[in-house]
Amino acid sequence: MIEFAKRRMIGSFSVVVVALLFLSIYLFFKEKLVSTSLPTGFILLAMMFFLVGLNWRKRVSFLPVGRASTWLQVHIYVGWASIAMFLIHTGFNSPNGGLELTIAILFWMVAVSGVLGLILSRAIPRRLTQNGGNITQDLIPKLRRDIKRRSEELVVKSIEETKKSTVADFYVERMEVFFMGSRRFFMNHIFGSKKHLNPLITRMHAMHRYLSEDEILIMNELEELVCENDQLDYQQSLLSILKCWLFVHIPLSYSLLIFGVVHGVLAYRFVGS
Amino acid sequence: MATKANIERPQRWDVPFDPDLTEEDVDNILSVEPFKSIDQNKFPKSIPLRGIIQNETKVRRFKKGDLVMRRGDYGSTAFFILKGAVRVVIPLPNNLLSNEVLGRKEPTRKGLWESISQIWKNPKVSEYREKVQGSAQTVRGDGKETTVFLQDVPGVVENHNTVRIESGEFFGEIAALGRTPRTATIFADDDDSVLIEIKWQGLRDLRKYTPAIKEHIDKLYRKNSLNVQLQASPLFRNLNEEQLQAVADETQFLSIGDFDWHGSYKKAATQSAAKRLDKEPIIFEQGGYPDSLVLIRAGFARVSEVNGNGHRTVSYIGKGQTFGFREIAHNWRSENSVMYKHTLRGLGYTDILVIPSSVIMKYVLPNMKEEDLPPVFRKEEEVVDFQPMSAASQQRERLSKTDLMEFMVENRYINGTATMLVNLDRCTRCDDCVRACASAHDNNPRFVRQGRHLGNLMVAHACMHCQDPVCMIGCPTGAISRREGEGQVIINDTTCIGCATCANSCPYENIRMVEARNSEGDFIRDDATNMPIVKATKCDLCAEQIGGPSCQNACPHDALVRMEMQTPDSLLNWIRR
Repeated sequence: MIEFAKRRMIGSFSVVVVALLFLSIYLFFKEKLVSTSLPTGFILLAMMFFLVGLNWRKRVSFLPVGRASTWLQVHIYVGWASIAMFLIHTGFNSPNGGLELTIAILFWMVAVSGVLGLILSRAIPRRLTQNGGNITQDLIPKLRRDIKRRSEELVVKSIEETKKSTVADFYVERMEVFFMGSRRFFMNHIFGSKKHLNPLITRMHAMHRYLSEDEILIMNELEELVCENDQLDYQQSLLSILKCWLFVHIPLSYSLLIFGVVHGVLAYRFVGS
Repeated sequence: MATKANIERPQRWDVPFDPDLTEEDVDNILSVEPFKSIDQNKFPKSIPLRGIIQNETKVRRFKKGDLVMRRGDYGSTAFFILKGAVRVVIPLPNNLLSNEVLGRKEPTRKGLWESISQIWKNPKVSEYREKVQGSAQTVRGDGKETTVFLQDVPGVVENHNTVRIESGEFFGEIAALGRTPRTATIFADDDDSVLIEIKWQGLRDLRKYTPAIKEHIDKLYRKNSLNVQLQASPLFRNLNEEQLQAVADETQFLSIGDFDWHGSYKKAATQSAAKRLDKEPIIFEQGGYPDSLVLIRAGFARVSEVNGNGHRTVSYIGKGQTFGFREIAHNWRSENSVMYKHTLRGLGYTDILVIPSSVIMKYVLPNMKEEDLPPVFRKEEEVVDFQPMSAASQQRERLSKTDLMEFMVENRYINGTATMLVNLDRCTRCDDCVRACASAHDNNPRFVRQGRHLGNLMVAHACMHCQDPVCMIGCPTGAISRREGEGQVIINDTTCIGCATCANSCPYENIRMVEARNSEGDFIRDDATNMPIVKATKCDLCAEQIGGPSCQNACPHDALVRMEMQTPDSLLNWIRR
């Protein structure tokens, strides 16, 4: 079982070697005034087909075509190598035609979204594990509804038992919004900020001076529910990010592939002229 | 209306094995040998012989060709032939009945084209079944019990080496008491054969209070299994036949713990660790003189050492592994004798062989090469030298070996041969594993990506294909079985009658009962009761797929693995990658 750090080193070293090899070949032919656009372009296109192949691999997990984890590793390093190849293919120049510009923009968007996805998929799982473990996204709405129901039952209980509406009023004024959904605090959760939660908790503690002992017990239970709900919001926000980046990366990759094929056909068609 | 707060404490015989067993039936059983000659006064008042027969036995009637037990099945009962006869298919190579004949269906691997065509052929409806019943020609029942029968009894008798056993004989007792697979296939050889099926608890008490039955069972075990079992252990490989027999003659065999541990395990799960540990029977205690070597025959045992006011789990041992050998070898070679360094406790149900150390010193140790002997204990080993761990190395450690060991033993995950482990620090919750599982099983996922976790390690609710598959005990049709060769525990969907015995027995809640549907998505219902037809489902490790377990293959982040739990170090290496 190869360690991840070792695997990363081997992969990175291989990419550097391959990139330097591409570069030397490019410089060698450039010196001899031989155009390398066509071969580098086709190699790049082949790399793109391979990179998109990961998405197809995922659909046939029951076939003996290698583990998805191996595919992803190769995908990552071929992705890095394709950046080097793209720079060589463009001769380190800016694109000048409409089609070329579109392809270049798409390429960099795919590359950046890929790198971002890699960072997210390595960083977010750890944060999810440290804050609430392993909650399935499909279950979150149900769990949230359950928390809301329990909190409302507590509020009703406070009125029935104490004949006062202090807790209920506070609930309507400040807390109900917390149980409504995570959208408002999405960015806070992404950056690990608690600025939406801390003022509420402080207010809840401050409320104790107006409450009887029974009401304080109910308030403490409500506080636990608020924290529980906040953890669900946190999980949902991070899980959404993990899912959403693929909705950017994959369609862009396919668009790039289509434009790349068109560009390749046109380049091949007019290669003589 | 409020329910009554106080009830009578549930007793062992509240629910008899066969509620239809009459007093007259009991009298009949007690009037035949060997029950007739049993001295009833030897039984304690709380467990009378009559009570055992009344509550722990069932009268079963078989027609000629009905299978009583099949080789490889697990069972918790033994049989006594009251009337008629049975026939044993001698378990020799080239003399085994095929799975087809036994009503089993071994999964066949799909071809390449069949595999690819799953992409568009998988049904859109979940839990779709084209066929929900086994062939009517191999299964018959009276509404209460279902049996599988052989279609061509004369053919089987003619083409196979078989032995007829007449009334008055016991069979199946070794597998029942030792929780080992049935070694032979046995079917009824006369029409209207009447057999008494005895639960292992009843058999245990009969053996305990009836010397003749104990002698009979022990003799059978010594004759059929003991020498083979000893020979399988590397310790006894160098012994000649005579020496091995001498060891076998001195060997005692004991069963420790609760046969139905899976039931008590679920109840005990809510108790504190200390309370649960107290319930595990001690086999040998730390500090005691090492007068015996323990060889595990079936089940597991916890090896622990005193740590403060509790016990720290050092390791766990399973089938074929030993306890106490290093201490015995030390005392044989050194003048300064040592005591047992650890405590050995039975986990769940443990079947052990106990061999006196004098026998080990006489026959085993002199036959071993110096390099094969375990090292003697050095004085320094007794001094525990604690080095403070740096914060960085604690972070690198991720999961402490001790915590992992406690977690695996506490939850009995050590039972797994293909446990699904998820590294939550790498799992992006993408559910590619669940989708891959579904696409390999007609669009029905066969596991749940949830489970108990320790730090970043999660044990998912997927069948672990246990070493001690308690789910296989009591399946009335043998629909759940262990695959020959590769060892996966699989369910034959067509012979499963949906009784949920396996799902209720699985301590890990890894078997789900599902309602079968037709191609329109409607529940398939039983004509008589109008109730949906239910089937037991679970992970089969993609036995039919050419690519192996799809879940593991599909994980792009190296976050999921199917792992054998006998080697905790490989698990640690995996989690610390």
